[in-house]
Amino acid sequence: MNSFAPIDPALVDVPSPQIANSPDGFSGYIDDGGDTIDALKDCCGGASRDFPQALWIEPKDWAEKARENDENKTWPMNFIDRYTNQNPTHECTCHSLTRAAEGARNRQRGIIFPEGPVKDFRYPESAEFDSVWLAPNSIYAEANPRQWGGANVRQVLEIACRRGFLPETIQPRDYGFKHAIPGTTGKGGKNQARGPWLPVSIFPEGWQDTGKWFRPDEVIFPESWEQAVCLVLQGMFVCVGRSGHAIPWGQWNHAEGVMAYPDSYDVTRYDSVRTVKSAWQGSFAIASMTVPDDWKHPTGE
Amino acid sequence: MSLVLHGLYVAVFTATTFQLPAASAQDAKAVITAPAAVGIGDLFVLDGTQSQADALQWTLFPTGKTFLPVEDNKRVVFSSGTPGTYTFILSVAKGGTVSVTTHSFTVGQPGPQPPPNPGPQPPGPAPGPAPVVPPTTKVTAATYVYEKDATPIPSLVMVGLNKLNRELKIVATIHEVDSTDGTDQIPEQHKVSVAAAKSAGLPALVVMSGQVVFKVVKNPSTLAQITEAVK
Repeated sequence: MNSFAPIDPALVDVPSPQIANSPDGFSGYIDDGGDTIDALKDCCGGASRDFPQALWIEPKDWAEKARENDENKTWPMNFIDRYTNQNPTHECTCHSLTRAAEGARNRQRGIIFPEGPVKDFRYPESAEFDSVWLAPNSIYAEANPRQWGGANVRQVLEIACRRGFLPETIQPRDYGFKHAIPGTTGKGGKNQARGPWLPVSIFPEGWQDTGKWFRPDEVIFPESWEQAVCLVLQGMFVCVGRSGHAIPWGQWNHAEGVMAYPDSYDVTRYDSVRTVKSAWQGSFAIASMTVPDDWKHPTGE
Repeated sequence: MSLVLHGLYVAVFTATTFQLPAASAQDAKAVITAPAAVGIGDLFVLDGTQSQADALQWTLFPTGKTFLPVEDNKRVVFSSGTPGTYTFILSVAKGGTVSVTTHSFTVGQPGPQPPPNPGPQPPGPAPGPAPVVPPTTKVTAATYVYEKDATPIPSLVMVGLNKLNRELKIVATIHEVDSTDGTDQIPEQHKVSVAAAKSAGLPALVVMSGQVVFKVVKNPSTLAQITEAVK
């Protein structure tokens, strides 16, 4: 997790695994040109926020802030406790969205996961400190009712802000959620439930009562690639769709000039600064999620 | 009828203000914001910041108890291990005018008593003088309340909250002042801390003991400020 360490060049600007693995050649992120800043702001409604100047860090100070985040383990990657695995589905926009949502929520809860996500490992403190795993398919099922073919960023962000996520059927501890669904129809894993495709029409009855407790409360839209880097340096994932695949940027490697992200294939990969500069315009960061009245009872029950 | 009269009496007694006639916004006005009842040993704050004042003076009855004025006398911190009714008098002055108000409150009922017949007891040492137990306050939560448009969250604040969670089992969280719960309300768990932080000025770390404010630290930025705040 050292942001000055050398990285494996084979993990930089990796082509979309969805396209490579897809039997039909579809990508997961539909780049139809519509994910503009204005369109994204509109779809968030009251949750939409401009980039606060208080979060700006001069580029000359990025290295110092990166060192501080290394030492204190306060990167966005340190606020998530699991990878997800969508392989071979087209759910990427929603896996990316859940990384940002869970990261924001754990940050609000005040808990740091020192190593970030670790494949096939479950942090004991995820249960103790109220981590809730959100189901990507609770959003994707509405964004693309046909299951295959992907979604764009504004679709999934609008759905999340409007009616929230459902939790996954696998959780760090038994919260007794009345409404939960498997997170993916893909591979899943130790920390993610896989299951059959569930259209919204057969979600558990009354699911909206649970979803409203897991909504993005404030969403920030960077207006330059430098602002996107600042948001990551300030501890927030920046979600972006590019090259047919959506991912959340979660750590700036200052020495290598690359942005790390927890890819929804149980692995951390990187975008080059060239990709960052070309892709930021459809990006967003979740600054905060709705907060429970009691962390031990996330839906008030 | 007696209950009604008693209630009326208390209501009058707990909010008595003495002021010169024809007061205006330029004149002194004493205002105390504080709970009407607290638990034994609870540390809490009496807030005089709503007053119009250049200078404030606090007096406590019965005398003999001490209290801690903070923030240029705008607030006082008080705790008592003795149940009973206490009254603070706040006297303020501004531009040649004065205003006085009082606030009475009860320090709560003793905790649950043991059952009248606890059954046979094992033999023990001969009874001696009862030990003097100082009042203790258990910190239950610490919330860093901030406004994201004005302040980023310092890394060391996150480290401190993480430490409180892990090592002291205190529910230590951050709360953006505009954040809401699933019903678009201020989350129940943060209502008191948000009010206390707004009163002190954002950002602030509000340390709670149950529903009682234990301490408010304005604009903390170091690990020591976070860990010391809960002591």
